[in-house]
Amino acid sequence: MPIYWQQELETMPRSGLATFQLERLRETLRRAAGSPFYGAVLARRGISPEDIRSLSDLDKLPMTTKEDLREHFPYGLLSAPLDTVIRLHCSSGTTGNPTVIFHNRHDLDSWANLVARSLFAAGARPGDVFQNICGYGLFTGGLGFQYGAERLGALTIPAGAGNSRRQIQLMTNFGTTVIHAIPSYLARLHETFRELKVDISRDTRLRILVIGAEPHTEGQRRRIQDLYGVKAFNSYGLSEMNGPGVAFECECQNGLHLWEDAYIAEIVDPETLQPVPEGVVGELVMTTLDRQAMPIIRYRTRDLTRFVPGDCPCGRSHRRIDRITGRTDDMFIIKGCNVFPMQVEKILMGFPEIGNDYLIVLETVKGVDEMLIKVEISPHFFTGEMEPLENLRRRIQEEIRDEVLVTPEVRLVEPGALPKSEGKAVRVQDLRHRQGE
Amino acid sequence: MPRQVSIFLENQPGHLEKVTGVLRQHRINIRAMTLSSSSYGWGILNLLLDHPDQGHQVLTAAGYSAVLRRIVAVRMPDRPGGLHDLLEHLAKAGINIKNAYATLMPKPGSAILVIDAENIDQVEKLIDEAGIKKLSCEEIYQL
Repeated sequence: MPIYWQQELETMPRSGLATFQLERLRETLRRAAGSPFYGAVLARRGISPEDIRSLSDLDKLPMTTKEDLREHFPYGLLSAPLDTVIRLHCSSGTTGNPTVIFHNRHDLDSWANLVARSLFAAGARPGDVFQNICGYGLFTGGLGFQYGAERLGALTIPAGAGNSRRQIQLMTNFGTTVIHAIPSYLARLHETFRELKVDISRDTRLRILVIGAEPHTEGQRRRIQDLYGVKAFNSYGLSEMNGPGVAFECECQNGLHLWEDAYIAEIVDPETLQPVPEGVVGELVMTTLDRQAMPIIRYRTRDLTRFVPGDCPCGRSHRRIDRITGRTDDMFIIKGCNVFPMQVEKILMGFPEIGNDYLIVLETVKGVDEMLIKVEISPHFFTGEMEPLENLRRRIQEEIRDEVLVTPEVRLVEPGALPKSEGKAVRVQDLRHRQGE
Repeated sequence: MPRQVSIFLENQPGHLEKVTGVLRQHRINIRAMTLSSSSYGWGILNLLLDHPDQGHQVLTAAGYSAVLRRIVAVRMPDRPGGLHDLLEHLAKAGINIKNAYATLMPKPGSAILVIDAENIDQVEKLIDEAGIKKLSCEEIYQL
């Protein structure tokens, strides 16, 4: 039984892979030079694709940001004639111009293949029944997995998001063996299984879960695996890099193989933009190597991860990234220290005495920047006494100081006083600039 | 046994007023109260109410962290040295008071001291042994 979708590409020795990447990078630059945006960037820097002689020359090229995509909306990065483009995906654009990504026939073909390869790595096979529980339309998770699972040879059910009873009905009617959904939905869906008294191991043929599109911890993954009694595989993608199928867990479940024949991945310090040592967390920066209509070079994903050191027992040579631990957009600097809200959150979640919600407020007090952390005390913890609360406050303060090297002021607030964690909760309020004006 | 309602409260303008608003809405009367603040922006409000169970219930429903805490209330004469005489007894009995507050009785000439302590069983026992009369629930709630 083969364990690879494309054995030669997936197990290619690192040196061969580097040569392959360099060729594709030059080709990508030649195409990119045809777009108004990259044409101008390359001309300004006096760089031609032939100047790139090794992969280390990549740092001669500037990074591309989401703001670049917005500013040059809609066609500024398009490198192919518009009449050869057959699909677009775009973001909602709630905070300005949307970001739009164009694909020609080759691009969609290449993307579907990467998703098929990913699903195969997680153990899915032709003949599986794949139920795609996520939004279709402009969101890439719908059509991305649809075309990928079809390419794999699975019977693919475009179930869409929500309607748990219908999802379970589809699963039992058609013998679904693989599900793709966001982790928080799988937890909710399981409630409906219980209500309907449908026993997953007895009444369904489910054998694989694919989870992604939402940051989650290893603990959450284990909980989902326990609930469903099958393995859950982590998926990573972003629309600027097509969508799903960028990096995926194999059956070893120890990091996500990032498909390096299709992308160049760098991990850099978000402040200095210099590469971090292997194994250290930084911002993932990516270059497309197989997209014709709209190549993107050194794109700052804002996602924080690290390369997992060492080789994977599965035999794939493509490096693995760790699950995403946060976003650089969230990072702030206080008293010269870089702080990620996830660091604070990790500490707070270790205290059962407080609720799930918190707020970090940065303010200038008498000319000095201060970090204030508001947490809600859990009603179960309150006894009517002062001392336990004082102790709790001090312990939280000390643990956060040890983690981020800045001593915060910790304020206990009444239950319900903070914004809820549902949806896009505001975790950091930076009042420093406003106060300085 | 008599109880007070203790509430966690942020030290912010208007927060105390919201609590009293909830009580007014449910026609619950406050017999006595104290507010103690920490130096970190929050405090604890202790309320002696005519209907402590109901008060606890409506405040909890309004989203507050509220608990019912057992107290001991003792009578003392409303004259100079009245509290002192009582405390002398309590000190002799070895009672350490962490939180306490006093209120007048409607009947002229007497007042009560409300004692809120961690080891309330022990406090009750020591007060009984010292021969000091405790007030019943009815006496307290219908002050």
